[in-house]
Amino acid sequence: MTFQPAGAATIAAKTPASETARRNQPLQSFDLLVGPLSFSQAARRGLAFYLLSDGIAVWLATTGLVAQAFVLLGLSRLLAIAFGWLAVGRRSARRGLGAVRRPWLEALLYLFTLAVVAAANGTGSFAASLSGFPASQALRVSAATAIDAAVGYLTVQGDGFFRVVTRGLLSLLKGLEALLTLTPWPVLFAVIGFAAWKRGGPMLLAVVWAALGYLGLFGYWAEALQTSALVLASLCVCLVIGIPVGILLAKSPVSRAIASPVLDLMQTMPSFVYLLPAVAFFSIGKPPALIATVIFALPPLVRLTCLGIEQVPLHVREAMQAHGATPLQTLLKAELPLALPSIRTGINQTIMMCLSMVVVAALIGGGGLGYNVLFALQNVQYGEGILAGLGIVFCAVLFDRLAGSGRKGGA
Amino acid sequence: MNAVPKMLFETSPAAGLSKPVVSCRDVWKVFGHRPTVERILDDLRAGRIDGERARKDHGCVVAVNGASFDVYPSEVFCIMGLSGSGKSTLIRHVNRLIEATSGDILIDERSINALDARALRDLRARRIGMVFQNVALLPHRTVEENTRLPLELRGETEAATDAAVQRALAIVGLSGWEDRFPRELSGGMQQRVGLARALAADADILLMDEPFSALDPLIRKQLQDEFRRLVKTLGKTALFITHDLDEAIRIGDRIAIMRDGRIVQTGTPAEIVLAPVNDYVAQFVEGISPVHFVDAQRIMVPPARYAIDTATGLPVAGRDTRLDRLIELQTESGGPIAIVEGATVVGAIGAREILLAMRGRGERQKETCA
Ligand SMILES: Nc1ncnc2c1ncn2[C@@H]1O[C@H](COP(=O)(O)OP(=O)(O)O)[C@@H](O)[C@H]1O
Ligand SMILES: [Mg+2]
Repeated sequence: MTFQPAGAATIAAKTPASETARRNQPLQSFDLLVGPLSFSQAARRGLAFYLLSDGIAVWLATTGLVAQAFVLLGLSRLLAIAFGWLAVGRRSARRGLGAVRRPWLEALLYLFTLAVVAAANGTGSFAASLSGFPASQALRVSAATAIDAAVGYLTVQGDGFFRVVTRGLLSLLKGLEALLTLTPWPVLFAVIGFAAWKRGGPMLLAVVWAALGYLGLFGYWAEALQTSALVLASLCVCLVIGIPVGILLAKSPVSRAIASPVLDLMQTMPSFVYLLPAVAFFSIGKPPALIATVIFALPPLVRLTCLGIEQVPLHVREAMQAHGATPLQTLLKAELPLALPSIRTGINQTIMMCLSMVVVAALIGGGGLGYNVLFALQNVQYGEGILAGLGIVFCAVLFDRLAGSGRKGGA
Repeated sequence: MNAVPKMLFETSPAAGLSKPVVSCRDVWKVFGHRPTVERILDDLRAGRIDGERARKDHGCVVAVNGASFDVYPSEVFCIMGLSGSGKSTLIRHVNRLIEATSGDILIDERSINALDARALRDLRARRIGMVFQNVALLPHRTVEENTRLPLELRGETEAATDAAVQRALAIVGLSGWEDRFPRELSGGMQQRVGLARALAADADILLMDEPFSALDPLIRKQLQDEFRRLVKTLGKTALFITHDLDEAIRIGDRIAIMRDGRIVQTGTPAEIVLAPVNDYVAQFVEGISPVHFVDAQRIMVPPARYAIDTATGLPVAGRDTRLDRLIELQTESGGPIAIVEGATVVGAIGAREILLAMRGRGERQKETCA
């Protein structure tokens, strides 16, 4: 018996869900503030038209034809409005022309162009002044001074707090360092070798022992342990901060909107820049090195934790909820376990970024292998520099193969 | 003949005899910008705006449009509609995974809108089990750990949990598979785990959102029969969503047909097949054979039509004899069948009536003169 073509069931009355979703995005107002960028998604034709006519108007004004520029501006607006109303109907006009859809943004663009054109009137050297941006030395100096003052103020006011943090970090570091240095080297060889064997069989065991052997034979053993302690301590701090923050970002779109640019800043700011405030607040030594490292290495962990939790399929959350889970239970029993691969990748990246900071951190007393490299550089000892650099590479290999999720996954 | 529901009439619907377990009262769900939704809701209810306009002019999606129904104890209530008709949205109102824009959902005649978070969790953990189309098992947990989830969530003791899990897995025929992971199971078996998870909590209401739609036809049929048997023996009340009328007829005691968020017809499979309320429903039931739904009562004509006054010498049947049996009787004897009630002949059925009934459409008019 045939009763219903199977295809009929799949004819879905699909609605523009994506459009609704876009409208509900919290980022939309940012989008608007950025201005014409938002047109790239909406009405491209209208924008191109305005940009072209405004560009020509500005050019006319700079060559002295101010009146003509005004006429052109006026004409282009009139044309746009006329075109909009003549078009197939009100709605399509709204779609086609950014002017009607986002009126105030268009007004802003218009006013700006008007201002430029008007400013061109009477100033002959205007065209010339456009080629070099009018820099204000005073502005930069006063801003920098203000930052200095703020840092100075915080250093004094937060003295107690910074002391506590310094002490805490120092004891963490010292503890880890003591643990590593007090362990006899054969024991470390055995333990690390065993872990390597479990993870990757004899091949990995050979690689790991070779790396350890290099560090030992070339006399970098103590420094390598110091570096490892620094990396591990940074990792601990990163985990304690990064995972909760990542969870928070995944749960709250508002905090994500705020934190996203901050994370971008942390990642793109040259790592040397962190050294200054770290030194200002925590003076010279290992704690500030650790803090600079943490700031540099934190973003991938936060990002990947957030990503991992966001990627948990909606139906899994729904199933948890449907069986009576509290939000906390959903997080612990479903979201975190499912986000684990992503979090592991984050941890791996964080470790690698910590290691890449060791040379920089050595500048402010981070010690370890980084200091060897630094010393060699300062004294123009190429050979020493390269050997110490290789030491760092082998450390990275050890960490990558043993701690990271790596390319091997759970194999 | 793939839609032969052999156990279809095992239990008659309890409708009207007892109090409903689940009732939906004029439930509306409009997705969209909250203030806009509130602004246009009255217009929607009054019919001044339709779903199309709401979407085009206001950017709102009317997913459920004034749905009302009651589900009675131990009943399997099917909601059937094409995809996008709002079935999933509607069923998610029953355990309040989705909050209604307006309207009320009652469980045991008590509104669930008023429940606080804790009471709601309790309701979900103890009373209402749910099975999803995409199974929604936790991939990092074994079959056994997935099954124990609801009990674990509500903090049941280890011993009680273990017993319930074993029982549930045995019911769905998955004993011995406890330590496998979902990815090691076939689609049909994964869906059994989903069912076991809902059963382990010993919920008396089961919400099934197209549980079998993604399975291949043979497995699907097997699971449908099993599900029906299981629900009936365990005495559960089930809301079953499907986009397949065959499935709805096979499984459901009653069926609600949904279109664009609206429930267009509610009734027993026979009512739906024999008396579709409009062309839309008629189009669905077009190919369904009436032999299992039509009874003698519905098609018989006055005995005088065949000049019958006593049943002697004629094949006899009761008012509730179904068409397939009537065909047998008629083909054996070749003459008319007397429909008797006690000793009196109340009607007659000849080859003509049977043929008209088979044609389906003509039989609808016939109904009136019976
Ligand atoms: N969260 C949501 N936001 C907006 N629209 C939705 C949402 N969920 C469902 N819809 C819309 O509601 C309608 C009904 O969807 P659904 O209940 O999933 O239908 P079905 O289960 O019958 O296929 C669809 O048009 C769908 O696009
Ligand atoms: Mg659905």
